[in-house]
Amino acid sequence: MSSTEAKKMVVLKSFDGVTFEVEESVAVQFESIRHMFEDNLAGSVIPLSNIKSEILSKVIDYCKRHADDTTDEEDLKAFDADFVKVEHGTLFDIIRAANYLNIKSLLDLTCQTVADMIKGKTPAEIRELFNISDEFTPEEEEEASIITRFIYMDRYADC
Amino acid sequence: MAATSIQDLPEDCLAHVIAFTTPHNACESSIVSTMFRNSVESELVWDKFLPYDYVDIMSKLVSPIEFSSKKDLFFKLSTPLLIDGGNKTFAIDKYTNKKCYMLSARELSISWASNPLCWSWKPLLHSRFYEGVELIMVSWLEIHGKINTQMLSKSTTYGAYLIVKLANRAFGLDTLPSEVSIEIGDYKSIGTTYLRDHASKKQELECDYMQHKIDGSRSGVCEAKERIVHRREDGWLEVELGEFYCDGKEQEVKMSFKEVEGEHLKGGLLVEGIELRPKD
Repeated sequence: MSSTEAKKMVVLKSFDGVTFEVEESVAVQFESIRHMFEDNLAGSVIPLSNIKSEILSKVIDYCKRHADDTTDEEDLKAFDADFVKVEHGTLFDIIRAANYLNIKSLLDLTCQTVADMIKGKTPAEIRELFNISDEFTPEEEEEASIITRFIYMDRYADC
Repeated sequence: MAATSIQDLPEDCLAHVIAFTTPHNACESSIVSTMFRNSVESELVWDKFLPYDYVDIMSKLVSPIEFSSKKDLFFKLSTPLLIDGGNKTFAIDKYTNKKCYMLSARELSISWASNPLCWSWKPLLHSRFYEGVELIMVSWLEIHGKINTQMLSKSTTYGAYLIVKLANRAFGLDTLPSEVSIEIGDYKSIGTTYLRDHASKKQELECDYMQHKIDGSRSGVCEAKERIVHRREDGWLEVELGEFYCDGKEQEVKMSFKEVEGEHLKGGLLVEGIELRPKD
């Protein structure tokens, strides 16, 4: 990317009123507000009323890194791995933001991270991990788990 | 403000998360909470678990299937179903959501199979296919099968298995070891097996002795591994022909089973086909 030519900038405003000035190349990764650039609205302030500044700054960080085509793939992988090492609450906030802004690669990265936490865990372990209260009666639980066990009982009978 | 919980995510997002787990995990997690249950039922989840070309595969089904949701379809496709005029079956492995196939005996090339004095084509009991083949008598036993990797799931190690039964009158099949092999591109693996149901102690010793002889006489390629005939829950016996890695490149996989060293006659082998399924 040439640094001499004037870059189009755009201002994003978080839910708590903090503004971030970002290059267009970064902000176009936000699929859901992309049309604003196509309509040549660059320069105006775009309000993102349901994203906290702390989260928006992380998302911008991510998009900046992914917009920079000088970064090699290994570095980017290391950056991604580091990026998701955050508290659960923050991770879920990033998922919501990525979903709202429609940033597919970020949504995939964060959802994959949560999926990896869930993989191989029992429902009770998942509840404990994410602090979810038990909503079902033991009977309802038993019924549901019988169905799953029934579907998966014939593991070696066929493929 | 309290930290965001997984329960605060839009249902679509949670479905996106679950789609990155496995079908088994997804089913199990449906009792975590109402929200999990709703997300697990989402079309988005099962659409991701289904093979990308499932519409194409369904067009090849011998008997069309009806389904009420993508989840319903997924589990209906996880039971082997006849495709391609009844000469193959297709199934999704419900654990790994990878594709499994079985090629019927009609899809294989079997030496002397068109000679009714050597092989007899007929419906076999408890078979998935309309027809199988029984070895009457040959001295040259050779079976080949092939499959294009485009039909299989990418980034997956597959095992190929010959599915057979031994008739009561079976004879000559375990006098000498049979050779099994897999060839894909430059890769080739060779192994040996004795076609017998249950190996007695004496036979095992004999196998060991033969194994040493084979190991000593062979060089290059992959070392000969003895494959033990395994009895399946469905009553058929299976012999592993070998395994291969399917990396997504279009290649032809050649699988074979043969016993052509001994000049003695052999018979009483019932062949259902060759099964391909992911190895876990």
